[in-house]
Amino acid sequence: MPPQLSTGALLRIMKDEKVPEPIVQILQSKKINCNSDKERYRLLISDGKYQISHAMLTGVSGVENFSIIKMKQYHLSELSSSQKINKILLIIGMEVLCSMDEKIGNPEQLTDQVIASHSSSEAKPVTNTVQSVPEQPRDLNQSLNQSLSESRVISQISALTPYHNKWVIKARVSNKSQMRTWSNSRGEGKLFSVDLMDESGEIRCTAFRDLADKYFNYLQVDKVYYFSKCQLKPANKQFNTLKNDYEMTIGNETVIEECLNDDGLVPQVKYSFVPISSVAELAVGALIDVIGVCKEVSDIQNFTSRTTNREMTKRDVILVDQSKTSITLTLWGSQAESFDGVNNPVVLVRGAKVGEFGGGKTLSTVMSSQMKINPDIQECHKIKGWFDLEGKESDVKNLSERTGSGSFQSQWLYLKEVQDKGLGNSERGDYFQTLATVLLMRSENAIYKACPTPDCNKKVVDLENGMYRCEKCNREYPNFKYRLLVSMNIGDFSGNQWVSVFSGEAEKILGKTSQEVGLAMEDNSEAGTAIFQNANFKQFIFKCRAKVETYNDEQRLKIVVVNVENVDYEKHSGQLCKEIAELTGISA
Amino acid sequence: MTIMSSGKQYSIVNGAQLPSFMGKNVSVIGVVAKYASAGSLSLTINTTDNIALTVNLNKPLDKDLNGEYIEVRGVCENAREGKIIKAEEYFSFNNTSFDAKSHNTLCKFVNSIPNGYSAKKN
Repeated sequence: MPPQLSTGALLRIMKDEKVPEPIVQILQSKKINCNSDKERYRLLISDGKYQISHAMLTGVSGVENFSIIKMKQYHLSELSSSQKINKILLIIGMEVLCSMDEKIGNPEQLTDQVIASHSSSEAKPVTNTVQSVPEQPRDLNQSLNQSLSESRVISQISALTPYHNKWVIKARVSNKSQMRTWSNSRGEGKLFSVDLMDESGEIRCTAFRDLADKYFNYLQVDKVYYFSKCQLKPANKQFNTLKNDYEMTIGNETVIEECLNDDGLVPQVKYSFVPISSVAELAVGALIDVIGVCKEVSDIQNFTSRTTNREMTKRDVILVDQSKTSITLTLWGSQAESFDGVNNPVVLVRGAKVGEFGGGKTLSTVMSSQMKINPDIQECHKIKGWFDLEGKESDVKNLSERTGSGSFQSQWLYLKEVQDKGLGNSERGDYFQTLATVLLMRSENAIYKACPTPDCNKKVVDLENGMYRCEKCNREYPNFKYRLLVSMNIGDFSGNQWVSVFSGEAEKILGKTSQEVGLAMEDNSEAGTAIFQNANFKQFIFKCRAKVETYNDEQRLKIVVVNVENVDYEKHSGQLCKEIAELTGISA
Repeated sequence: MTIMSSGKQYSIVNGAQLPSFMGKNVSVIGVVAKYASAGSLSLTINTTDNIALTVNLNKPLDKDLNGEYIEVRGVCENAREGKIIKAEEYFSFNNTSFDAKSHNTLCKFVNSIPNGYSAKKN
């Protein structure tokens, strides 16, 4: 016994009525050639009484003729061709109930006239039946809140496609970008975008130029809005990481209205917060949600980007959380300018990017990041409570530390392990620290004459006329300063390694300033050499950066000492105890 | 693990481990707990795991000791559950600051991890 067809359903659908999950029979299906990778079929379907040929099926790999299906999700779409408006029934979701081998009943073709005659019979009597105009879509400009209360059907974000344009979605703004400007050969302008979400999914919505101005202040993060008549197009995955094949553009005919009674049906933005201590293990470039108390805040820094030559503004904020770990979060542009770190606000960032700088991990906001200050959510109150009670006073590890002695961010290795593990093959180099003894500091070619400008350490060219030229500053100076670049061999029980040391760190090893060393070498090279020899067999903790570099097609591991420290034996023995405990399984 | 001194071997132990080293040569580090004046033949130390030990010396103290860390080498005596050491020698570190925690950890490690470098078979 085949399921009962929803007789008359097609007529009601074509009249814009909503019929829940109507059951129809497919009389004929034909595959349509299209560029899209999804298959599409044109269908002739019947509800037993009427049949229509303007039906399309997508997302399904074909159905047999005479199958009886339940239309789980469908839309009525208008295609305006040259003269008249064609209504197309687009079936997005369906279920095949059973297959048949013949047509049920004798359906009649559902024409515009039939539809018109039925609507006219219900609505005001229309005398002119020949020139019947298809019913206009409801005047959306009227009020979506109002019209929706008249049971207008709300579409789901995941169901939006470019193939139908008559929809309204009810969505929460989960993210709003800054206003951005662009300028290229085709012109310039500005834009901003919002990320919308409902229970079915998410989509990005972008507004350009005047419309960007119009809606920028109107659309606010976390509020719910009705959206209608946006243009849909395939998403550009280069800029859009949302899980949707499409994105929308706000056009002139777009209607957006705030949903006045947020009934909570549209889900709240969900965060998956990562404890700051776990950021240490994350890969550079990962996007994470993070919440922390602003412990310190730096002043605004203005600088010019080297790559794009653009003026940039940034501000560093130190965040701390219950994992007793702190990290530097870099804010950019207007976010940096407007940030107020007074009274240790709680800072929430959705989609912060993990970075690495000088061996420490950092966070930074990117275009898609969303920042909130003191958000009214449970996590915020928890962390604030923790901070006020205990966090303010407790010691925290700084994940972003570049030079300090914290042992957690760069791995402890013995020199042989550096070789065995093949360090230095990552693009940005690998950092490690080791306790080693200076075996030899090479005094030859250890000093050079550098530009006397404080921040410029470029080697100067001796013009042999008492002047020294710096290529970087493009200036000539009557003087120069000495700087050190020492090649040094360090060793531990496992092996030894040549490393390079620059002025700052070499001075710590030698116990003399670069200038003192330079002058000593100039006066009396024996006395100068003695300074270097004095350093032999001293023990330090070296923090190093290893990077494989290619010279003349030959790969060489280059290791630069980024920090030298005197050995804190108590701390180091603690580190060794920890390692032994891990290796043996005996708790210390 | 043991250390060699004047031809003898001493096991490095903490207070809690002493009972299993009775009658054996041990090396214990502790802080002098009570003022001991020059000439005394006995003193009390608190080990790195905070156990009080009585140290009986074989020659009188040559200076006053109080609050300093010292290493005592000698035989662990059977009386009072091994809390007496008959010292053969002692060394004062002349220092009130000592990484007691690490030393205590060391005692645990050296007496529980087999010595892979030892020529003798255990």
